[in-house]
Amino acid sequence: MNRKSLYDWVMRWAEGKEDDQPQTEQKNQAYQAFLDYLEYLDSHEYVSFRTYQQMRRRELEEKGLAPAGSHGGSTEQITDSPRTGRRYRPGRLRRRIWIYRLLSVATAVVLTGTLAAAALQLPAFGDPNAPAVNEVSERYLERGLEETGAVNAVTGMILDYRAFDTFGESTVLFAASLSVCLLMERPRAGRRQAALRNEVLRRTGRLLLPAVLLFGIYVVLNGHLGPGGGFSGGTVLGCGLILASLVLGQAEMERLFSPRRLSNVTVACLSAYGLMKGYSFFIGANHMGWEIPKGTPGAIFSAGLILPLNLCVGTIVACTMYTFYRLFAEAEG
Amino acid sequence: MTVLEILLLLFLVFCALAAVTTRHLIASVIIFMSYSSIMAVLWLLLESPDLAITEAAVGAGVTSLLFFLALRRVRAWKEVDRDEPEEPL
Repeated sequence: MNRKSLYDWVMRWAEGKEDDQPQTEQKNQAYQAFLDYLEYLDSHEYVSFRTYQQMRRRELEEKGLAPAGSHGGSTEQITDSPRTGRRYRPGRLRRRIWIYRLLSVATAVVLTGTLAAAALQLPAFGDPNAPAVNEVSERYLERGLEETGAVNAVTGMILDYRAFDTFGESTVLFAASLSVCLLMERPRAGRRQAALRNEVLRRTGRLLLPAVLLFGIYVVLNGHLGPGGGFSGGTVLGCGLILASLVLGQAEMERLFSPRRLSNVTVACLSAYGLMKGYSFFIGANHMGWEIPKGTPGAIFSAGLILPLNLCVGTIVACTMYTFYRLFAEAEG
Repeated sequence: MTVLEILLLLFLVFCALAAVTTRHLIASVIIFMSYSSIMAVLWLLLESPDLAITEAAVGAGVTSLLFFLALRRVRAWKEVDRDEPEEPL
C-alpha cells in the first residue's frame, strides 16, 4: 500500500464514508437526498431542506423527468438573496467531521501511550522496595490488629484510621441521591413498574433473591473479619433490593420501602455514623480515658466501632442504590 | 504471570474494544458487564478480594442496570418480552 492510497483510506474512514451501512431502500434515498442538500448548502445561500426539495422537483419537472404538479403543500418563494455575511449553515460542521475523528483517534493514542508508559514504570507486584512500602503501611499491617481490632486490615484502615474520609464519602453519596431526588421526583408522576411478566425470569429471580440478600448481609457484617465491608456489601444489598422490586413489582416493594422511609433510614444512619465517629474522634482516638472495647479479634462482636459503622455505611449505600433505581424506573411514561 | 492471567488480560482488552465499537447499544452494555466480571476475577488474582466484590457489584450490577434504565428512558430499547426481533441501533 503506497502513501497516497493509505492517505485516501484514512481520509475516507475519517469522513465516515465507510459507515454508510446498507439500509432499506427508502431510508437510503432520503439519506442521499439529505447529503445532496448538505453539498448544495456548501456552495449556495442557506435555504430550508423543504425549499431545496421543491427546487429539485422543479428542476426535474423542467427536464420532464417527473410528473408536473406533484409538489404539494405550501410553496415557499425562492429568491436569490445576496449573501449577507456568515450565517449558520448546517453543512459546515459535517464537512469538517474528519477533523474531529482524527483528533479523537490522536487523543486516544496519546492517552493510551502515556498510560502504558506509566504502567511500565510501576514497581513490580509485591516489590519490597516499592515507594508505597513505607512506615505508614508497615504500621497498618503490624499494629492494625492491635489498634483497631479488625482482622481485615483494609476495613481497619477504611473505618478506623481513615474513618473521617469514609464519613465524607457517605455524605457525598447522600448528597448525590438527594440531588437526583430533587431533579427527578415528581409526586405520583409515572405509573409504577409492574412485576416481570416473563414467568421464567420471575421464578429465577425469586430463587436468587434470598441468596443475594443474604450474601449482602454477610459481606456487611463480616467486613472486619474477611473481605468486604459496608460499601461492597451495601451495593450487593442494593442489587438485591432492585431484583426484589423487579420480581415483586414496585407497588409491593413500596409497602415496606416507601421513599420517605428510605430517606429517613439514610439520614438516621448518616447521623449515627457522624455521632459515633465524632465521639470516638474526640474521646477514644486521643486515649482520654474512654476506650472503645475491642473484643476478641476474629469474633463477630469485635473491633470496636467498626461493625456498627459498617452497618451504617451498608444501609446508606443500599438505600441510595435502590433510590436511584426507583427514580429511574418510576418516571416512566 | 500465569497463562490464566494472560488469557484474562487479553479478553479484557478485547471486551474493552468491543464495548466501544459495537453498534448495538444493549450488546455494548452487556459486553461492559462481562468486562467488569473479568476485572473482578483479575482483582481476585491480584489478592484484593475487597475490590473484587465491589467491582462485581458496582460494575457488573448497578452501573449496567442504570445504563439499561437510561436506554429505556430514551426509548432506545423496546420492551423485552415482545417476540419481534430488535433492530440494530
